[in-house]
Amino acid sequence: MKIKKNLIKRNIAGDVILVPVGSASLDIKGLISLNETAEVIWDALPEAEDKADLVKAVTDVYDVDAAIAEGDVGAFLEKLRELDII
Amino acid sequence: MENNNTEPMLSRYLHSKGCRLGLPISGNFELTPRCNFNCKMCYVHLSEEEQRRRGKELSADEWLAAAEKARDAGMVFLLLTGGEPLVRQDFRYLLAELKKMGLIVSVNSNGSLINDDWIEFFKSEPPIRFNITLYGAGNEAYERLCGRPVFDKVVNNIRALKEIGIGVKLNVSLTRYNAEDMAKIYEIAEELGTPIQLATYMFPPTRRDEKLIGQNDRFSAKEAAEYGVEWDKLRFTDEQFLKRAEAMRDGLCLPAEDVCDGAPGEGILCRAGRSSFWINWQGAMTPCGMMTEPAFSVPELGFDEAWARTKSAASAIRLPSDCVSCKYKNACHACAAMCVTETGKFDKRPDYVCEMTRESVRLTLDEYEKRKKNED
Repeated sequence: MKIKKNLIKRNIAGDVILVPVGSASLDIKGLISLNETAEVIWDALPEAEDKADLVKAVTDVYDVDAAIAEGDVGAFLEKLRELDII
Repeated sequence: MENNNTEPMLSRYLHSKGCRLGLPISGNFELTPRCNFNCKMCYVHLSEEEQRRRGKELSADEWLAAAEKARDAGMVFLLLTGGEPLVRQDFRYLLAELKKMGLIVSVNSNGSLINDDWIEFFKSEPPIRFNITLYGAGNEAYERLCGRPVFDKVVNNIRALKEIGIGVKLNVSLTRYNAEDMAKIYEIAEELGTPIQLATYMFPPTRRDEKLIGQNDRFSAKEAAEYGVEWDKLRFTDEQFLKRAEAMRDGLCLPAEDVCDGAPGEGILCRAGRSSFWINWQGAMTPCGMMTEPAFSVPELGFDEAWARTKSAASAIRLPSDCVSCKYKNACHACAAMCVTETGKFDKRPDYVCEMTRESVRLTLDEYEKRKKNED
């Protein structure tokens, strides 16, 4: 999936944040904080063809039902769309 | 209008983690002491001649090397300040490179040098925010305070920045040269739709001249309190004002406060030297920009060692013992930098600040009584 905004992922003593770079900070005012699941999804985004790839990325890492993972992936993608990141 | 400059929760959280773990979450780079203004109460500005006599500014490469190390140690937020940072020829390069490092960069400026060319640049490399000092509500106050009648230009530049989507916060240093403009300044901020922070307290500029301990071209403590309370009347709703007054009366922490997270006590309680640092134009790291000591050279020691020594020295600072049991302590803004610039010592009571606080509380409670009587 294509990430439209230039964001850098940083890890601050265990807290993972996304920082907008270049003109992205005109649209995204501040930082985005990722929890562990969101980080797995974020890392998988560039290579993912579709939502199913992202669900697989989550179930590969966590012992969780695909249905639950699908809900988490859907909620995160929705947030990213709201911010026009994907 | 947004008056209280509320800090985002994530920033507060990261700073509190930084204080706990000793991480330099936010940095201040004072890029230059040079400025196209010559403000009467400034603690940084030096003439070109004095600046040359004192030494060279850090180069862009030196700033970027320090930023990289600071970023690796945890820095997320960076403020570029001066002097006027836009006078540096390499400012655009610095801003672009610092943002590429994954830093959230804001800029302190007087706003007068921005033109169409700068606006085009900021469209592609916007800082997260401009903090622009507004020196008055017209050219006359600008002329009196800064020697430059450029009020209209500054206001137009604020509008231009906001138009391209860059956040602007206004800072106001109220002195006898612009005091009569206070109400108009408030109206301007309302009209522009920008948050605003006004200070009637001016630090003695001991950085410019170490002999100026306890001195500045500033209000008396009583006047600073009077104007401060007048500002509170303007910026707070009736309900907010009454709540603050009740907190003052009862000796509680004040709601809707916009100071830098500090209060008197045994050690430094703000973020200075705990999760934030300042590097002056010559590369000396201090806990905050008002202090001359403790100072450690970043070019000589490297960032990591300068930060380690700054943390250690800041943790050894002790504030006045008088303050701990003072009944005004929760209404008081006294901090380590105020103590040392007012008295020359961290652990000596800053009487100017004490008088200002006592008077602020008295005036606030007088106004409270008046309003309560009117309610009845």
